[in-house]
Amino acid sequence: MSDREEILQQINVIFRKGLNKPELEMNEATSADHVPEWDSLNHALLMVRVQGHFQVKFSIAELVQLKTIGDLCDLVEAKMKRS
Amino acid sequence: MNFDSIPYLLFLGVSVVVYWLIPEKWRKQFLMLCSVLFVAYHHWWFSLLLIAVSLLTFEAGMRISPGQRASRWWYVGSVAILILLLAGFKWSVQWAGADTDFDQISWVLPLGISYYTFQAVSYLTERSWNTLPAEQSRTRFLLYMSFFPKITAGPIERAGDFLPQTQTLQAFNIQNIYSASLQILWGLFKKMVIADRLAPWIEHVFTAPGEVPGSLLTLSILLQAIQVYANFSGYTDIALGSARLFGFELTDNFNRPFLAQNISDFWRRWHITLSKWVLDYIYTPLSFRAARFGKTGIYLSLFLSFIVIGIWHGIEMRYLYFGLMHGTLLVLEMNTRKWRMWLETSLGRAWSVAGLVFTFLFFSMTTLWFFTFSLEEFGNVLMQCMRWDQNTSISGSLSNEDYLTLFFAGTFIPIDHGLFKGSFHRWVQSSNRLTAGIAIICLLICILLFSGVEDIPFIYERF
Repeated sequence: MSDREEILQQINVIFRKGLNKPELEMNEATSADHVPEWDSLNHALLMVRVQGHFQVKFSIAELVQLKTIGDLCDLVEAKMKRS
Repeated sequence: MNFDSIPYLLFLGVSVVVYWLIPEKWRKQFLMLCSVLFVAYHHWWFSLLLIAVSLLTFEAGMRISPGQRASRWWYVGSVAILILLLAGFKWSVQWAGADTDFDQISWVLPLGISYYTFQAVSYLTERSWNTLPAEQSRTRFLLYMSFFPKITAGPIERAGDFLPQTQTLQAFNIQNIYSASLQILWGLFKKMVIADRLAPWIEHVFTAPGEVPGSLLTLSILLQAIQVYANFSGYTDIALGSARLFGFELTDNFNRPFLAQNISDFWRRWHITLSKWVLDYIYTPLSFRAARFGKTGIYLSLFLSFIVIGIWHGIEMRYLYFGLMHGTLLVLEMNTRKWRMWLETSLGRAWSVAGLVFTFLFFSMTTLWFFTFSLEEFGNVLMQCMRWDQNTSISGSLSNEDYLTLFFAGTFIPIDHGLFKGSFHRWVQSSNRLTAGIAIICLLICILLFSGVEDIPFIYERF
């Protein structure tokens, strides 16, 4: 499994736990439009969990540009490479 | 110069003809001149203020470059000046005691200041996030800030959506002119036939709520919500249509709001450019910072965001409470999502209809609060609504003209939301020629014969 797939899998685990939806399966194209529970309330909480899990820190500018799970994977991957 | 007045339609018509006749290289300058003149027509110093705010924002935008220490000061300093300026003018409305008089407001509050200030803050914030390049041309930037179809009451356009349109101007397209004219026609119908007929009704009923039957008062609360929608979305259609006559696309502020099944859905459909602005520049940064405190932090961010939406309309308690009421319901919705989803699955369509009715009723009640000046007045109207034991019925209180108004208001939402799907011009363009022709002639007849007789201003012009 590549690093990228690993990140995607771990993000899936965080979202399943955060949204209390064990059956949730997201791919890189998944956005908030596809997951009804992923609303503006949960979004901020999920991002804090993602930051904590990967030990990275996002800026507001980076966060507001996220549209899909693929974008989130890109951001985590870039941050992990830098650290 | 009201959008539904002859002077505006003449101004628009002449501007459009000249715009397409002059060489392309002069078109931006011409539109900018028209925009400055449009604002100066209301008051000459409004234009000076608009130019000063635009130049300040332009210069600050050039100096904001993420990562540099001075850049942060430029951002904080310029945004602080803009917000203080806006707050100062909003306070002056209160201070001058002009909050109840539309004519006085139009003298005290510079035209469009709430809208162009939010545009400026949006541009500067995007610059500080480095999500937008600095605009290099003063002319293009001034046009973005002042473009007259959107200056009066929005939409609050994003620089990232508007500025690229000023770089490559659209070529003349007769289909676009036809489509834009249809949009303006539908906007005029909404404003002149629906909103302007309802306005004197609403004013009459709420001036002396004790003198009308409770049933009529209840009906009027619902009609007021329709009046506000017809007034504001009518303005928006004329604004968007006017912009399209020059080949510019603006963001729509409405997406059939009365089909919303809950209040969060409602805010995705009502005054979209304001709610999106607050979501992106207030709620999102706040909630990310506050998320470390768990759900409490998120709720506080939400309340603060709705307070901003409330006081954006004016620095008054009724606007603050309006924001808080919507914020409170949103928090309740967030906390009850699970069982609402369960009810939706169990009850199906019945739950959707119940949600739609509840959302409309909630909006109608908060709109009543929005337009009343004290808690006492609001309570008084609600108490009067309970007086169903009066021997006077609705039918005895209404004239033939009132029935006609009721007919227009009652059929308006199903036609607008259902048949036209919120867009008359798209519906006409997808219909056959006969249907389109009949619809256009009917609209023209309605505007000519059944418009409200009083000259009613656009409600959102005062904000």
